[in-house]
Amino acid sequence: MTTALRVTDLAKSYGGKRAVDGISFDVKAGELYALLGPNGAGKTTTLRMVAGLLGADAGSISVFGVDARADPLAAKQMIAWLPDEPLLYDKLTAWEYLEFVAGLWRIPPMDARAEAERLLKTLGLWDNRNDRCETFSRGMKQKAVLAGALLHQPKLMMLDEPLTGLDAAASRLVKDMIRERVSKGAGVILTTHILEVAERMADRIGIIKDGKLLIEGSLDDLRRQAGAQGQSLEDVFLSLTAGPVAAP
Amino acid sequence: MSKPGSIGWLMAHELRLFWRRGKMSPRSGLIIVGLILAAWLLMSFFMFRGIGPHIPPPPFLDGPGDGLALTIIGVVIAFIGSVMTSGAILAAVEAIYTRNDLDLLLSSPVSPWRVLVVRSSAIAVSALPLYAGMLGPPLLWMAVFSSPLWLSALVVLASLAFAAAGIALLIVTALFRMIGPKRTRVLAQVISALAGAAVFLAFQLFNVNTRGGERMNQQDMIEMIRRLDLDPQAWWLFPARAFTGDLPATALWLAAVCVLFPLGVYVFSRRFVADAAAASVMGQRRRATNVRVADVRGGVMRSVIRKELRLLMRDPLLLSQVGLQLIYFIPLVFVLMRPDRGLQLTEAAFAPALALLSSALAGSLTWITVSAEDAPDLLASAPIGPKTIDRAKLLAAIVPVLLLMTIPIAILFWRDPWAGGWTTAGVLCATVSAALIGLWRRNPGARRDFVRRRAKGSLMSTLGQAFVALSISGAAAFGAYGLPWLSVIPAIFGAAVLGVLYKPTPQFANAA
Repeated sequence: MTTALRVTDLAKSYGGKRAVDGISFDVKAGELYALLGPNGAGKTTTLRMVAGLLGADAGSISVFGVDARADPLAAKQMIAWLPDEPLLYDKLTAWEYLEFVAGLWRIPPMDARAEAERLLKTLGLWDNRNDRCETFSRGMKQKAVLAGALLHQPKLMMLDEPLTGLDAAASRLVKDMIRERVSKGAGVILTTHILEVAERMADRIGIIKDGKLLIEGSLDDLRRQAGAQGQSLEDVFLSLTAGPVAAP
Repeated sequence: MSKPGSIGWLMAHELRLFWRRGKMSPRSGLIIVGLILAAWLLMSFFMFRGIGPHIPPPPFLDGPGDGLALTIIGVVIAFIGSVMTSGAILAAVEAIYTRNDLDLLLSSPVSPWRVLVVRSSAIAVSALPLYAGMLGPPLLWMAVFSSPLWLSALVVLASLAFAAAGIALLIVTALFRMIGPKRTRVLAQVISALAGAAVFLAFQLFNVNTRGGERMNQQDMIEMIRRLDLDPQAWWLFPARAFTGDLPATALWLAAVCVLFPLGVYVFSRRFVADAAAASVMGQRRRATNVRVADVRGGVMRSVIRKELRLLMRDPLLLSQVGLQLIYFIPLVFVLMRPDRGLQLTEAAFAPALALLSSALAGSLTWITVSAEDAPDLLASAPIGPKTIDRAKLLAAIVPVLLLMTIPIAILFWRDPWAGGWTTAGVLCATVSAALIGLWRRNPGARRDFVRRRAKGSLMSTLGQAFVALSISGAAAFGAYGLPWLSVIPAIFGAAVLGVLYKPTPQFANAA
């Protein structure tokens, strides 16, 4: 199976504090990887480094074989980044937002138009395509940003709390769309505090704390490694993250 | 310590928020303000120890001479009051449209009336520190060395802030009633700007209308004052008389403020909840579904430029804020149009003025396009080099300014090609340099920051832009007046400052 993302010894410090401390993990193409951890564990920092939004202090990032630190533009062409807070242009309409995203990713106009139409219809925003984003609810904004993230048919998706603010129906829809991308061979890495989502959706799970990867594998692997057979992911997660992390 | 929920407690809350608005830590701020105030107090002591005994003690109630003194004081009061009203209008609009913590306060069991009285008082009090700091020490020493009656000036100054707040609250409420939430915000900005510049504009209009551009010498001035025969007891001079310690006038003034401020608060607060609700749903009206599907047009540069221009054009509040800089240039135009300065103050005078204006506009637009990016993560995660995006954003900032300048430059070329040529050079250099400084010294912020504080960058970039703009406009002025060899000096200064301000564009994260 092709490796969609390979992160090796990735490190980042803020003012002397190690936010990410030598993390290494792989995400395969056609795999959904959930990166879990308590608040401030370094999940978002890790994803932001992979997305090229934050410079790493050390380590390497490879996206489908492309060295993302050496050739960030080639890596970004394959990546979609969905931040936890949907940042949109309030004064643009949903259609204009997608048109702008298409320009940034240099998607041919005809392809962009067809894909934008498909995504907006799937996400239930088609009737709102000519409404300005300032009139959207939190959930609609999240959907518009998701449409922008999927527009260039990314091979690697990084989703930071993608279900925040969505109602049950929208949440189900987004989960289905993520699974669809995975089934089409995209690598997906997501962070979430809703452990049931990770439990149900993820092929593999990594748990980080204080910038270090504590454990990773399938849910069964995690249970086995944590000595918590038959317990839920929540129990495993709490048993692993409750105490202080051991010094390396 | 005040009881929680009381007016004193709410005041302390407001004061804490006001004090923490700046970037400086409260303790450092207190030390710096204290030092400046102490220095000013000391300096004004030495000034007024000498001149204080020669200042005639108020009240000034005898004859046209005193009438003139009171008129001058009245003009100063009008000026300060108009600037205070200007700020208070913006603060009142801010209270309605961006409620900040008002939702929390109004949803608490504290009386809404009490909350709004305190918030309105905060609007008034926030206008005070500047004027109290500037005028307080001199008035204090005048009270010591001339007459204690000067202390009443401090009372008038403090109450003036409350009068201004009352007027502002009435204006904003009236606007809201008459033109609705959408237009109020924009019009309030314009009214605020006009109020701030009202006294200066009135003087310039007076100059142009009454003197027809003729130079006024000392004799003319004395003659004009003699003819005016100012009566110090005139009713409209009562604020000035109050300022100078006329006790009945002071009582009348305080009575007027005691009516005006509560009236403003009452009218404002009566409609506040409804107005704030109307403002919060503004823009949420669903448009009729448009079945049209626009073509998707590609290209990175085109996409970014189109996006920036759309965002600008669709934000009338922001646009009006940028455009207000044109209003502040009106007095300059009045000055320039007076043909009595001996120099060729017609076409050539527009070279530095337009260079300054284009620099100010380009600086503002660059801050909006470069620093006030709404979705920086989107751009940073796109497969495009930051330089490409910066180039597009600079173009989006520069092109509207140059288009705006095309008309006056074309007229100048028609009337005086030499002046037109230098103006073109000045405008081009000023626009590009202001945009480059904004790019090099980017200072990320939200668009609403521009509307709230008219801030557009760091102190260094603001000062740098001002210095470079002045240098370029100086060079353009020398050139337009037929002294091109002299223009080299400011041009070199400007280029040197530009060089000092140069800072390479930060690369997005992953560049190894």
